[in-house]
Amino acid sequence: MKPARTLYASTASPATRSAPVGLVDLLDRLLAGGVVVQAHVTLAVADVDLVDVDIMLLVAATATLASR
Amino acid sequence: MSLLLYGIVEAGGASGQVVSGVGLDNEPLRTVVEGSLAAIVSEHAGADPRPEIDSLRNYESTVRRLMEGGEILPARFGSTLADEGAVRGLLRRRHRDLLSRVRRVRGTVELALRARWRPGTEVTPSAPPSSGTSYLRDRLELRQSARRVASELDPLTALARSSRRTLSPAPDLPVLDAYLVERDRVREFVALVAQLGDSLDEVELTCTGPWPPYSFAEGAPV
Repeated sequence: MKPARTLYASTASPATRSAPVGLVDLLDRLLAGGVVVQAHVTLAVADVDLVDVDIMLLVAATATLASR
Repeated sequence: MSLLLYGIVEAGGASGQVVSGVGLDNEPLRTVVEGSLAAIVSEHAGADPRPEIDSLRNYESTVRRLMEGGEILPARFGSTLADEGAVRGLLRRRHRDLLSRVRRVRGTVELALRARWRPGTEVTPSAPPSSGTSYLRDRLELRQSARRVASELDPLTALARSSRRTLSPAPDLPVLDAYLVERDRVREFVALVAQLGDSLDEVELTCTGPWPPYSFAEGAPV
């Protein structure tokens, strides 16, 4: 199976194509998605410094995907 | 000592899931098999893991690596179970549902799509509502605008095996979608997102992924 590649497609201008979108999508998935096995899981994200995340690890330009 | 759950796979599934490496706190990953299902876990000491950025990133990369080896139904971050018995209990209790979900996500990835109002086109009222009636009218207008944007995105569902939609989760965000897309259709999907994005004046579209199928692990059957 081909390894999953990270892609990022946006019609936003570069100035508004803010990296945190990828982070928000990540938090949405890890903290609100997935199989739930307990009545409640810690949801506090106060410790997460949104600015501090090098989200570029997660997102790459659409151009990169297109050039595969 | 408890067990931290990363996800659920089909035991001896067609994809031949190979589980190796480490997860959070450098604990080795292993499987707990029950019937046709296997849970991927690691030992975890102390309280449930807190959603700190290093842990989240570590968890994400672990699940992503597992996804590259085959289908996985990811667990919510921080899911711990007391011991192997509790893991087996979970797999037994939800065997039919989890097995059908694992099979339904085979060969797919999740793509996230958000439509955001372009600057200057927000339908959000700039002033606080002057009365209950105007509040309700604003809400209705927001909802109708979101529906209009959502209908423009409908062609995407034809390229997806399944989808989840949230309308107006935030004032600046009329539509928040998750799509379950077959791996070999991802490029086609992204190209259509770009095409739709070009044709929509009011919103800008942002698509991220591929993600493990987090949004298709619970809720309505896929």
